[in-house]
Amino acid sequence: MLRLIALEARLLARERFAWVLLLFLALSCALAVANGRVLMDQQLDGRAIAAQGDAKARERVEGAFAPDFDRALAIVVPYWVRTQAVSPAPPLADFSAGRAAIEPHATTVTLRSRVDTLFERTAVDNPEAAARGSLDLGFVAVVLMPLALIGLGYGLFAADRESGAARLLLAQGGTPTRVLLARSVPRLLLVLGPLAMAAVVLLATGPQIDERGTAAGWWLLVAVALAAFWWAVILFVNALRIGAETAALTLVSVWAMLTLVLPAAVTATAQLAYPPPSRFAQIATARAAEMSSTTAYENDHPDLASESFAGRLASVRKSLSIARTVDRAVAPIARRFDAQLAGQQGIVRALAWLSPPMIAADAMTATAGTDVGRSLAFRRAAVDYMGQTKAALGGFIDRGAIMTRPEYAALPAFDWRPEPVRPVAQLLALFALALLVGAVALHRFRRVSV
Amino acid sequence: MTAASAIARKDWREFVRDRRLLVMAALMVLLSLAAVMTAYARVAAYEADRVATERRDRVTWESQGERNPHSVAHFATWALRPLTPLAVLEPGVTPYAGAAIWMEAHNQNGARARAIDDAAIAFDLGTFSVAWVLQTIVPLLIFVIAAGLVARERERGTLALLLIGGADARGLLPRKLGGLARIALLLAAPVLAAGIAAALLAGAVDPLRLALWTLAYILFFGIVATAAVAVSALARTVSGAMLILIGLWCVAVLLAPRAGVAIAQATAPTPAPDAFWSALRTDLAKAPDPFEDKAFEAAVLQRYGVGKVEDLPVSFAGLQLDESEKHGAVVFDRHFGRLAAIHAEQRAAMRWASLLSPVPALENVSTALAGTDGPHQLAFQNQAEAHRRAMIGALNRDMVEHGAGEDFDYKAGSALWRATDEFRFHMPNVGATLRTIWLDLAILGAWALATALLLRLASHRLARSIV
Repeated sequence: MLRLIALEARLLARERFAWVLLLFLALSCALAVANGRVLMDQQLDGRAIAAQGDAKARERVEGAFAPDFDRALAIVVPYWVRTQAVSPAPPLADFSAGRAAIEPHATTVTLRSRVDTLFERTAVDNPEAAARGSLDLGFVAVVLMPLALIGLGYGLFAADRESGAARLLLAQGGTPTRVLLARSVPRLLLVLGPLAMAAVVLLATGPQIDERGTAAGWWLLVAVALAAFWWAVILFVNALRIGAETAALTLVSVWAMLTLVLPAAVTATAQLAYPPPSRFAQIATARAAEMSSTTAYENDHPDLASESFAGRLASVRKSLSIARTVDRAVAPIARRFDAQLAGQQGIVRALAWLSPPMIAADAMTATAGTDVGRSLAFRRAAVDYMGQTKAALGGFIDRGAIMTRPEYAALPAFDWRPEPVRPVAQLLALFALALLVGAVALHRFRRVSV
Repeated sequence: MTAASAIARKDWREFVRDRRLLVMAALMVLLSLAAVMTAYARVAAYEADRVATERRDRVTWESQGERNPHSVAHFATWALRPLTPLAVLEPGVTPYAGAAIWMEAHNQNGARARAIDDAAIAFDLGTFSVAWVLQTIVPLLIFVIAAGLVARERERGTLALLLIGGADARGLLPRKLGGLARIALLLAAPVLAAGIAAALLAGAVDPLRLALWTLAYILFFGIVATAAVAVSALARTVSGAMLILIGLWCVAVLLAPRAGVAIAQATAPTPAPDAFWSALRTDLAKAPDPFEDKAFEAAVLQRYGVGKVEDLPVSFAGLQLDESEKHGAVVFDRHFGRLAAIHAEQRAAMRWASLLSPVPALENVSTALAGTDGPHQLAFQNQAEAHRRAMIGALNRDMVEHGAGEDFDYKAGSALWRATDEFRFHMPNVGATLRTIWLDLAILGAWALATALLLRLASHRLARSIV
């Protein structure tokens, strides 16, 4: 068997197309590695800057703990506090970018923060680049790799059957299964090789992040499972009594349907079924609530409103009361956003089972820590943290108490750690599909008449 | 019957008889109609929502009662980006760009409320739209149909019969191209017609933009069809032709636009959001604060010829606020200007991908004519910032002129709020839009020429093959 595989590998090496394909995959992987490293650097740098926090704000607050600090101004200090909610770096953002480039990974929490504006100052990326999408290793694995496999495999047996060479081949090589296996191994290695090499390069040159190695292992397993699925489909199509041209057409159609059309249709269906509430309406509601509860300037500059303790306390209490009114007004809309996004996520998850490339893409981004679920979880955690921080800081104002240094040090800190994802169900599904389709294909091959 | 029409009729008959292609074509048309309907629903809902919100917020704005103008400047207003009816055909960058800008005092805010933030998608291969179908699926279908046009004749041996029978070898490929064009037109026509009808239903469409948009796609399909026929003529077998064409499609449609993004990120990297906002805050803090700057106070007192602030005939706080805005404007112009320059450099870098494919150039043309490209988004942001500065300036001026001695206790009435202009986005005219895409149009022209030359080369080879 090994001799047969070696023979097929030598035959493949003589094909110019195989070398062109190898070059194409190698270049795609190199580009994906370069992109991945840029993205990962941005992710780490952005988090490092965010984690430093606002030194000037800290200095200002620390200054308020001096014994000679004006007591009347000290009551305003909770409004000066700025704390950070920073999500941990995704372990494999350089493998599968997912939503890493578009989702916020950090935010500043203050007493003025609101659920509807918590992530307002995040996007400075070029929307034209975002609209075109990025070329990452996940894209190579889910989109390009199957096309490469189709290119190598559409005529795996169909071409020989068409030309009449199949009879000769079977006579020399034994059963069709042996011939197919011998042909499959070098072709799969040709396609999976550059992908695995790229993954190794990223791992070797990337940052040290907890769980990165394990996550990369799972990620590669998903890529192998997807390749196995596509190869099974290719074998199945070759087992049909059709010519090489029809085999190529059928495979490209299946690829286009599963990789392009179904994901686009699933996304559109999810958005139609669970349309998010209007961001504009949310803005208008917050403004109307704010307007109905204030007409005074103190909302904006409590430190300038009055120079007496009682005057400033009254001012900050009014600000807090207005903020709470606005919070209450926008809370139902925020809940609707959460519900609709969860609904969209649910429908996308359910319908993704119709398309193995979607199953693989979801599993890869989940393993990479760049999926929708993790983004939503971070947003929820940041909103919870905002609630805790505002409750703690607002408490001083409610009580009319001046915050002390130990109380400042004891303010809640953001500590959200997502559980690492193990895409067992997706892996099992992909391998099961591959086995099923492959078994049907081999069954047909056993009954093959050339 | 001319030879050209005979060949076209034969190719059409073969296309109709080939159920595989018919099924694919029917699916494509259904897909396109679904795209048209979802895009129309999206744009119509967005516009209705935007108009209703603007109306509701104007009522809130005008009914503020008596307030200090600076308090009102903090409350401020919002600029909401309108969508053109052509966004039904081409959403462009709109899902990825903020649709709302808060035009408040002291701050130039970025655009927020991006549709992508409210969509639970991780596997994103483009927004489902007419443009997506025309740029992605139609070229694939044209390639698949065209792969066998000449190669199949060669495989069956009918090509040799045709040529020996006296058919003009040099004229054969243009005739094949004509036949393919008819098929492609029949496929694309319902998509285009439905899309255009939906765009017309969505609002007043600029006919020149629509005509140019349609012509750009016709040119693109011409490029795709010409390349496909040439490859079919040069390839030895149908499956070989199909393989080459699928490879070309993969590079042109899937890889090249993304490669452009990679080039752009490498040559002009976008700053991390935290770094951008942190640098901006640091620069703002460096500027002298007119509320603490004694030199500013002295200059004002000297200008008005008085000895102390209390004697000023104007509101000193109003002047301080105005000065603060001027300092802010310099810093904002520097940082946002640099960001816009980076985005412009990225746009230029992404154009290099046009060496691999006409698709990046087509995307630029398509989004620009639909009013949904980066420069249109930048125009919205710039107009919003200009409006913010004018509005905050007017509120500060009112405080300066009428708030002497009262400063933050001064209150203006509803007449001032009513006199404040509402934000209206003025879409750049077609001339200005064409100036941003002339290079992309030239690139499409170059691709048309290159594929025509390829077809000519293939014709020559075909002619030589019978000698």
